[in-house]
Amino acid sequence: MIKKDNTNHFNDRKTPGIRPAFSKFQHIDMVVRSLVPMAFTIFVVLFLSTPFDIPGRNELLPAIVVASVYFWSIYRPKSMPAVGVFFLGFLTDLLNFSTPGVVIFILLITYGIGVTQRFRLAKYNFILVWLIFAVIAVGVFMLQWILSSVFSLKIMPYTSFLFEIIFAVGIYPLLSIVFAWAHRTIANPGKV
Amino acid sequence: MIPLSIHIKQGLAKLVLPFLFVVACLIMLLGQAQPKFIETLRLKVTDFLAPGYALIEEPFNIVYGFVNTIKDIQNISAENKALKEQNLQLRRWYHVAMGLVDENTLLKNQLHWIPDRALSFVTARVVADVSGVYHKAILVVLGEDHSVKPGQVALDGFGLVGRVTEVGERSARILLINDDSSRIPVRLSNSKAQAIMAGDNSLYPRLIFYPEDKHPIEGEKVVTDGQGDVLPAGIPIGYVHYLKPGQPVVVPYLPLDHLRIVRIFNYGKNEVIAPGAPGRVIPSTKKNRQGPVASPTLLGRDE
Repeated sequence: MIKKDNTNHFNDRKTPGIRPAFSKFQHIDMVVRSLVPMAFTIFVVLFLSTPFDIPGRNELLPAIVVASVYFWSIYRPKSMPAVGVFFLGFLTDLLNFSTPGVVIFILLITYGIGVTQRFRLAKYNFILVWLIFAVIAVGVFMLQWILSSVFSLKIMPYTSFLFEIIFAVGIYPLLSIVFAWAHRTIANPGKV
Repeated sequence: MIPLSIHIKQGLAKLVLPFLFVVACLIMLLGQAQPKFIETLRLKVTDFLAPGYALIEEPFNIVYGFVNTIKDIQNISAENKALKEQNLQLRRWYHVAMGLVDENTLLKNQLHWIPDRALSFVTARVVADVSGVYHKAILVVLGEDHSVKPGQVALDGFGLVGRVTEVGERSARILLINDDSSRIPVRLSNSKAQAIMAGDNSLYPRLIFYPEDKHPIEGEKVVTDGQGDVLPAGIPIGYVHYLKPGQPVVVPYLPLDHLRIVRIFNYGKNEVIAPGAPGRVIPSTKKNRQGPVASPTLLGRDE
């Protein structure tokens, strides 16, 4: 028989009961765990900027960042705060020398949809969440293309924008496997 | 911390997201109205991160090196054989080249040829690919007191890769020739025709505006043309290739997505200052004035 993991229940501060106070190290542990989603996304932004032979690196970067923001805004918005999303977008914009503000805008839209609809979305099964993500990805990347075209006063090549959408939709299931595992284990502050 | 009631706190928490949307829009407007401000901020961030990139890269370099060594060991004998043959051929070419150099010197002496100025260049490591989805650029790391200026020309081992657009204290950004906004006047070596090489964010920049009666020939060399005083004439870029009939592209000698080390040349192109135009990269400041270049020697060989 599988042993039931009741650590979550034990430290669950919502139910009444007497519990031992958290030690200093437990606090640090909790902080580190809650920072995992942000840290992972920042690492992806930095890592995909290094000149390695990763195919479609430029299109992969926004795809992963948008998928990450979407997932965490639904399942644990406390680890992906709005201000954090803003700075993530700003960092991407600054590092990639793209039109400033555009990536911030599309990330905030994704975050806004995720965080306002999270109670509804969290109930849905995976396929539906994925489909909704696909719709969002098409919307935000099209918006990015439109904004980039408007600000540089010419029609940008649409191939990269199609690639972005394909990458985002394709990588979401993979990322959500990793994130779902992280959500239960290393990124779970309740598991201290 | 100001004590706030729970209601006000909840209200404020709801306002964070709309507020950030407004800030994002403001940043977009600021980027259009004050591009200089965003540029300096950008260079500060990249200057700060430039050594950090190397740190991220290093462990992966070790792994790559290890894998490559194993691959090399596997086909060591076949490679050895091929290299020996190639070496023989190269030795023959070496003697031909030496003969030509001697002849060239002799002829130049007879003509009282004004020798080319030795060009100064710095070699820099590419630390990051700062290409976004809609543009292509690289970031190189430089020393603290470098003399790199916007408008200078970047070459890899074989030919032109781009131009320096922004310079920070420790890093510089190079806009690649396949960027969507890059338009470079070129000359085709065999047909002697002029054309424009236009980037379109793919690996191979297109050739446009070539003469109707002189279509580019498959495989001929493409070099820069001195027109417009943007680039010095005669820098090799690559060769012509037809992706489809009627669609000639330039294939650079080294693929533009695998750049690791580039040389940044100071061509002293600041003698003539072109009138300002929107979107023009200002060649550099007046400080280091140098004589005009007749025909730039790329390999910096000494005669």
